[in-house]
Amino acid sequence: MASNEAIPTWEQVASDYGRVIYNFAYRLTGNRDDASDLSQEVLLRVRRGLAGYQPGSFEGWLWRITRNAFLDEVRRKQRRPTSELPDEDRSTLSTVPAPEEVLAETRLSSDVQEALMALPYEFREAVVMCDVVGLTYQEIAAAADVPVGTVRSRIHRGRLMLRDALEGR
Amino acid sequence: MHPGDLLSAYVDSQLPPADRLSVESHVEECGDCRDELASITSARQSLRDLPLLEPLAGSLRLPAEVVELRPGHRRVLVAAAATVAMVVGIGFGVDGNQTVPLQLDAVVEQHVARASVDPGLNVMQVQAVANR
Repeated sequence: MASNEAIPTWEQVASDYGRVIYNFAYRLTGNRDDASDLSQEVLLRVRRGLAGYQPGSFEGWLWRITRNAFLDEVRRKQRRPTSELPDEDRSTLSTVPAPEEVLAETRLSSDVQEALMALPYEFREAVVMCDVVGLTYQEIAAAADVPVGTVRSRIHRGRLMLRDALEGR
Repeated sequence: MHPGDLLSAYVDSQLPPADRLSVESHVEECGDCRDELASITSARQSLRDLPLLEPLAGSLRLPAEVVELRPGHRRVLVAAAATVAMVVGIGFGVDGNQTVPLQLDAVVEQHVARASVDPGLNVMQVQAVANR
């Protein structure tokens, strides 16, 4: 959004960004229930924060809220760690025609999801923000509060680690 | 010097034209960097090919207690709260020698407003409204 942007309403944020927030949360957690809880928490924080939002980088603002919500949740859960296996959403299968293709695609995306979960958080976050959410390096830098050079390095190393993990299968 | 993480910036179109050109000319001459470019391009594509999932039902809705109701619905909730306040208030008045003022005029007025909104209003309906 441009600097003279209009501040969106909460309903607009939920409708325009809700699905991608959920997908970001799912790719980071590997768990649909956690992704659902996290999406609600993000939207709650957006609702509280919108009144004080100063026009600028809306994407940076929104994704900073999202990652902070995720990190708070991780800290909260550190007392009772769980290891959840990723569960792929069955609803996506309806758009895929042949059963054998369904199986192939499901296996492939669950492999990628498992490889993602093996990445250290900073790298997982960087590649998901870039390749799943579609943010620019500048937007990722604003969201994660790090220099653009750090973002570039994390994305590159994250992809190399992902390649190693996928090749090891 | 090998471009390293500039290769990712290159495939993401995040480089200024001059850097872009120097990455391209390096990759043409360096097999290692060509391999690295192929690796990150493939990993990048795997992520981009991930299906965009439909959120679980209710994921994008706020919990009922913080939902901002439309004006017509808000009136119903205020009336329901006033009814609760009246019951609690009467309880205080009867049980102990409390000094809490009942402010009956306001309570009765809101109760009448409630009855005029929907005589059959109950808690379940309030919940249903809040869940919309």
